[in-house]
Amino acid sequence: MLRNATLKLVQAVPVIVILVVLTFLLMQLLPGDPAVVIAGPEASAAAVDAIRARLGLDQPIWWQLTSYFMHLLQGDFGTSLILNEPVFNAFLLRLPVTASLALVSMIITVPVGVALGTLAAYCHNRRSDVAIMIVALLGVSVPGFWIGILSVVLFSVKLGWLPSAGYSPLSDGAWAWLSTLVQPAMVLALFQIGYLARVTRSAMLDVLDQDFVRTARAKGMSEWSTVGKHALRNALIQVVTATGVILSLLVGGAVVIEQMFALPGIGRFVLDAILRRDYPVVQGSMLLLGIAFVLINLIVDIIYTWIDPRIRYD
Amino acid sequence: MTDLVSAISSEALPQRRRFVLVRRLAAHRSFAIGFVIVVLLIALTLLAPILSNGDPSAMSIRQRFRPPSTMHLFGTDMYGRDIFTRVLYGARLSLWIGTAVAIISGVLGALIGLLAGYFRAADAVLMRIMDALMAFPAILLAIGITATLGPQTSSVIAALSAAYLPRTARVVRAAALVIREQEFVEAARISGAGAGRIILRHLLPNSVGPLLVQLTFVFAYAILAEAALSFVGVGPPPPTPSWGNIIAEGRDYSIEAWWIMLFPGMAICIAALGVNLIGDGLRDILDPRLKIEG
Amino acid sequence: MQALTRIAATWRGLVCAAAMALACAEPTSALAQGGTLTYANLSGPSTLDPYMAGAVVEMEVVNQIYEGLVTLDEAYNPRLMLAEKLEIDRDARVFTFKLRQNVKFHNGQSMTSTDVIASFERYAAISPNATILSGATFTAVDSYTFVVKFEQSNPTFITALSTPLYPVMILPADQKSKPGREAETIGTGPFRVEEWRKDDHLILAKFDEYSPDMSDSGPDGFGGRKTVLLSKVRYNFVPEANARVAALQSGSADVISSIPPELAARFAGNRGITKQETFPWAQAAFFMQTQNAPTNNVLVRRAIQAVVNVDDIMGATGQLARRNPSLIYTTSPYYDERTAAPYYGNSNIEKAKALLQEAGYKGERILLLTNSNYPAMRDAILVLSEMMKTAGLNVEVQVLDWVTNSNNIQRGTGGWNVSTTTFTPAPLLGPQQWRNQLYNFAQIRGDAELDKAYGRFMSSLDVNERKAAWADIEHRLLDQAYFVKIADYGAMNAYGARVKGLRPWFLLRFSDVSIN
Repeated sequence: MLRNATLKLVQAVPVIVILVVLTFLLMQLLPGDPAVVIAGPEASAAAVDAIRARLGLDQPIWWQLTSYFMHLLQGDFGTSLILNEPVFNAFLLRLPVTASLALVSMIITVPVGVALGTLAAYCHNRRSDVAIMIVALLGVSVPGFWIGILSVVLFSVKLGWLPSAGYSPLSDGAWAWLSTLVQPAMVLALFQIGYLARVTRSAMLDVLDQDFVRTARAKGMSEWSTVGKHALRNALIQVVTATGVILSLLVGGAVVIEQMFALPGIGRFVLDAILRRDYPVVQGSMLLLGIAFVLINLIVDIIYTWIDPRIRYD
Repeated sequence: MTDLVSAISSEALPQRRRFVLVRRLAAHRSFAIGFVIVVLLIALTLLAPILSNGDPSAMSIRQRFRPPSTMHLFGTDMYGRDIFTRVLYGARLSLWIGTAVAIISGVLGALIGLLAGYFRAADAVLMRIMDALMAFPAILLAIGITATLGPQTSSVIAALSAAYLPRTARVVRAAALVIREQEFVEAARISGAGAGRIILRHLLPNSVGPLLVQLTFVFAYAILAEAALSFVGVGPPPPTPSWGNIIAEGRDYSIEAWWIMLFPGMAICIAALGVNLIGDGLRDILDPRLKIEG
Repeated sequence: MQALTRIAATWRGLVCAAAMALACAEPTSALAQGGTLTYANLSGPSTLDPYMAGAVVEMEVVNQIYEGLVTLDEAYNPRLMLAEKLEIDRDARVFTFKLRQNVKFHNGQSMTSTDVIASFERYAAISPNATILSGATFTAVDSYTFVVKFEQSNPTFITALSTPLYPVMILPADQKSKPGREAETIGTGPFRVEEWRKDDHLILAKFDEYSPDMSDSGPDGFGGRKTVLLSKVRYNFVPEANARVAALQSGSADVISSIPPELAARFAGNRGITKQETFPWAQAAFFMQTQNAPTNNVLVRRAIQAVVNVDDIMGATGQLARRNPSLIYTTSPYYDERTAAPYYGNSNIEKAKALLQEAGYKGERILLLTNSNYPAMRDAILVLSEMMKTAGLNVEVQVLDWVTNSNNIQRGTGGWNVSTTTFTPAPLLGPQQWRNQLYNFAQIRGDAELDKAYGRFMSSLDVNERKAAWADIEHRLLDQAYFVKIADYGAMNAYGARVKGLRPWFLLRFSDVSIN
């Protein structure tokens, strides 16, 4: 198991290197001159040139890429043009918000999604199955931001139950923290629950069909033993894999949702940076997010192996 | 699985087998409903100039914020533009983007997946690159690329194709890997068949099924993603109507002029629903065990 | 959270009522002290360096943290603030300021003429508005006397100096060498910066050692005797209008701004919420890049001018708006509607087509530049584009983000032909304030007639001569179709029942405001 883990870790390194190159290239393609953005609209040509020289923007591409790698190895992910802070610090400052959103959203998604999927598989082709699958299908077909607008109209404007914007940190009280997250988390969870329910159902159907389950049933074992222990454990593999995908969907969805609900998280941070041409932030954050997901996938793979020792990687 | 798959492959295709397949699709409830929805949508889109007043940008300031009526089926927006017309023309844009993204990511994904599936060396390199691309949340990658290339329809298409490419490649690769291990491929190689021939005659046909299923889901994702991009401000620019644009413009008036936001949102739901149903149906018919994300 | 806030508010209300009943002998002017006021606005400042503060949100904050020698009074005329006396010589060349004594900075230092001279020199070096100080020399005669001497007479200097945009605030002398946007937020104003998260919120706290201007009985514009009754003001940056309105209705914000008028109807019948409409707030105008084809041709520009239908644009933006042909407000001494009226609001498509034909217009593309952040600007451009199309013009609309839009406008880059923005202080402060923006935004070069008229304006000591000069300037601007006026806009703010003392003005001020 340890050997597998280290093997996977080693395989992740080239992926991360490619990530760095990709984000670097993406920044090179961006229009406009970063030196002009830093200098501001009123700066003279001389001031712009000075900044360009200072940041090494007039050097050839391979020099800039190498310099970028060197900085990264020292933990320097660049400095925000607009905030005037190191990107890494600014990223970490906003991470708790997105992490909280992800946590609340997962707490809603995983139990509901798995339960719905399991129920649907168990009642395969009967009315409950069809009903649940329709709901799940709607979940993955509805645009999140649209539901978000409708949700705010209902829960914040008309009913006044939940705040319409802003984030209250955990340190200011758990109840306030939760109330600012419930609406955005629910909106995000909609798509995820649909996705998870479908994946779970399909995984469970597989398992329920297999010989050993039929044998167990034939032998008279209780429903719980057949469904609960064997089927669920095997379906868990699918669910764990899906979790990695769900997290990715979550951060993607958070980009729009955080803006709508004025949550100062990573999604909004990167979106603002892209729109305002804050290149170091875009580059650094995309890289940090990419690395985070490579690591998450790595952990998912390891858990996968642990759950089902029959699976081996060559 | 091999029965049905070879039924749609170009090798030795008896007419009766194909006919059986089509009948099974038609009988499959989800597929049929989805198919009808999508065909209706396409028809509405093509007939847009006839069904509507023809110009989605025509303003009439005195008619602003009119609720739905017989004259304006979906009401008017803040400039007095007819929402029904805008939603129909927005459908053109959204469906076009969905199709283009599906085709581009399909072709490129198939290419990469087949190469990775057959050549082990290529596999290592290509899949690492795909893994790296997949490490970014798709929407974020799309926003970044669109912001880079400028707010145009072509940028949106390029960006979304790049975002969904890795997923398509994975699916094709998985299918190709299965076939590669089979005996008749080994036999073909020994008897001197070149790589190209093996890929085209054996691997590709086997992957078409899963690829098609994946592409329908990519189409649905693309419609939703385009709406999100427009909402955030990096989609096709105004005054071109896109479903996301219309919702974005109407978001401040979600109570006072709820119709601006409601109808394009419903249109997105219905379109994505129809396409997802087709995907589900295809997957169920081909092989319910296919692990295709949807 | 809302339930708790409501319950708490109810109990607080009952206790207050009981206390008031018991204390009815107390003078009613004893306003509540302390508390945090929450203000939800559209976006936050990108810098708090006053010499670089060019946006409305920056103006709002900067004018509460810092103070200058002069500022605007409630009627938008210049008045003294950190200076207690001003002497102007007969030729309007030498301005002698006697400074107030015992004025404290946020770091405890006392203000002297050393700080003033350092501030003026830094302003002249880095501010985009530094032209108001060109040709000036600064002298500190003694610790509390500061003299500005111009080479030529400068009769509009004090009006220019009182600008709230790129204000000439007094900073401690040690800030002199700081590059633009990097000054520390140390001023003499009644509020100091406590916390600033650029993409989320800003907190101002009461400056306990503030030295108010005792020569007055109360606040007057940005000056006068200011008293801070709150302990903190929290600015929350909430980009969604729905969210801001909902915040006020639920009580999580006490004051909100930038309310689309259609949404204001949601407050109807809610006696706890007061709407505040302020006129004037800003002016909207189109301007044309005169160095880019085809708007380098005056006939094409006049054709575009002829197409503009101001009523339609006012209707489309949904803003509080009033017709006004001039680039100056009706209350200004320079206002003369005879100059601008003939060019205003007469949409004539046939005339436009005739002008285009005369110009030899062959369908060259005209690029309209706008942004997605400010709906009023975007709406104006979209309506204009449709109008232009009916006259047969080949129009393309480019929607960027505000930062790039603003950059391109100020530098003339990006290949645009027509753009728009809202102008806040220029119409308030008058013709000398307009000069930079008129020349820059329209990229006017080599217009001898305009240069001469402006020269006369800047140097005439007689106000009537200046009025005549401005009439010539405005006439030239409109005749050459550099700028096309749209309308005067008002602002809509709203606040909850707990807020007292919020006086309507073109910017929100939080001194002399209390919260229960």
